[in-house]
Amino acid sequence: MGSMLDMVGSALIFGVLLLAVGRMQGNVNSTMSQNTFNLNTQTEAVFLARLIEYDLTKAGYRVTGPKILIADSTRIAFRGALTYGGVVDSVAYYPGDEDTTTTNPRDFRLLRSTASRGALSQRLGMIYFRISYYDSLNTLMPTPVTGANRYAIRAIHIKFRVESHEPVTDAVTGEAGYFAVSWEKLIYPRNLGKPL
Amino acid sequence: MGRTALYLVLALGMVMGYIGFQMYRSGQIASDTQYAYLKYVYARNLARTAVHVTLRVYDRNQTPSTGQTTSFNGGSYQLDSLSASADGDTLRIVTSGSYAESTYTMRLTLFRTTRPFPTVQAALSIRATPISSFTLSGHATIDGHNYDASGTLPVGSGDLAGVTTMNSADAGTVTSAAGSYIGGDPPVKVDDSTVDPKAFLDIYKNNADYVYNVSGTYGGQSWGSASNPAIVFCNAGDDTSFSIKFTGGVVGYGILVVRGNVQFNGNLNFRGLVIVDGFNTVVSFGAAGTPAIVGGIIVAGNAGASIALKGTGANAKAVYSSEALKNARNIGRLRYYTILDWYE
Repeated sequence: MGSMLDMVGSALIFGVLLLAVGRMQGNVNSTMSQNTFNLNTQTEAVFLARLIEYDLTKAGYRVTGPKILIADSTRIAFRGALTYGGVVDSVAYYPGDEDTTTTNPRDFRLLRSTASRGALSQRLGMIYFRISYYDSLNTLMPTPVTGANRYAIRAIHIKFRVESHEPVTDAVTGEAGYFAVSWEKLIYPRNLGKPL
Repeated sequence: MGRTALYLVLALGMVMGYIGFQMYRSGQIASDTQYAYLKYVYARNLARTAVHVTLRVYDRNQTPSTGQTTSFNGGSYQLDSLSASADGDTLRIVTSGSYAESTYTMRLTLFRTTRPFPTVQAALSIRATPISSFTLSGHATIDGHNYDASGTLPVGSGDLAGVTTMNSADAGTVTSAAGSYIGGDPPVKVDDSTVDPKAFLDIYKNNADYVYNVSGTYGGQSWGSASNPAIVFCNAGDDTSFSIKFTGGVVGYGILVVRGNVQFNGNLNFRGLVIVDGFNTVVSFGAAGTPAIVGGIIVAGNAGASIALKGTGANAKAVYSSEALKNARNIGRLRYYTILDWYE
């Protein structure tokens, strides 16, 4: 009789433990996927931030003549040598088509194009990409900045927001959402003030 | 049965430990990603700090040290290399900043100059017109020949006019007042391109190293040095009864702004640019030595200006010197850098 009770008790405890483990496994899986998407989103944001900073600080470096070629609210093209003492290249950033390979309905591709290597369409989960321009008095310039006004650009403000490619479901509430990272910076490319 | 349960629990514990470690690792990588960006930003800011520190050392007319690491804000920065052109105008600078294991390097070429510093086109350039009164009395002479920085040896080239005026009527006023006391190539010339320094006066006042705003008598003064010139502002106002007198010897280098009745009764030796501002300005040389302004004088464009240079002693003179003017441009407070190339 005692042995029977032990077995029933053990089975009950094991069952409770199994349920707890199952529940925990669900939470862990959810958290793991959240962490993964969070990490991916952050990594992509940091990657893009550093890429933009790297490129924009080269705007006008070793350039004679116009330095900013296109200055619109979502599109920028400029000239500059990307390596120390290197050859002058043309670099452009602009939004591409909607990214249909992800579940996120808002994301679109971002293109970085150089004259030397062509365009590279990047899947970064970009959902917002805006550029604004400031002159030497830190006055916001209306976009698009065209003609000789482009020569007056001294600072470039970039703002973007990237989201995870796939939604993440909260294990507790059951609500699905996308992880997002926003980044913005006012960059002063030092070579823009050089005479043409 | 009990042993089996124990094994199950142990296995479960290991699985949970593994999952926990993976979660920790995932969070750790996310933190590392953000921290890596932070380190990169800090290193860049430190490299930029090195640029600023280097330029401020230059502004004090000292030479920055290379290869000297300075700790700041948890990181460090240093000036890696520095080279200047022969005339010192062009600087090539390489700096680096380090934060944790991130290092950021900046390479830049700068053109340094002093702003604003009007171009001098004569020993005495009079921008003011019409001149209501111009007096050159006593032994004061004006010479547009190019002298060395001491004002004693003619260079032999680069001579300018003794006095320039904005029009021929003013030139006539100066010629009749000064006569043979003016020398240069030619002694008096009409030149309406003289820069009006009035636009710069506020900058000079705001950056002045020495300010004399109170009427009174002052003893001997020393303003700056040849390697570290200064800005001096003597404002005696438009009222000629209000005066500033220097009774002792006065030695100065840089930019001297004179407004109103200012008398140098001791021996004056000023090397650099003198700007005479305002109405009723009287600059008196009143000593028996060889008081001199070596460099150039510009009279700001106040219509109806009244200027008197009085040499009550012996051998007072105002001579043009391109060398003295060049030295005077090294005023740290007015130092201005233009970016020729900046790579980071």
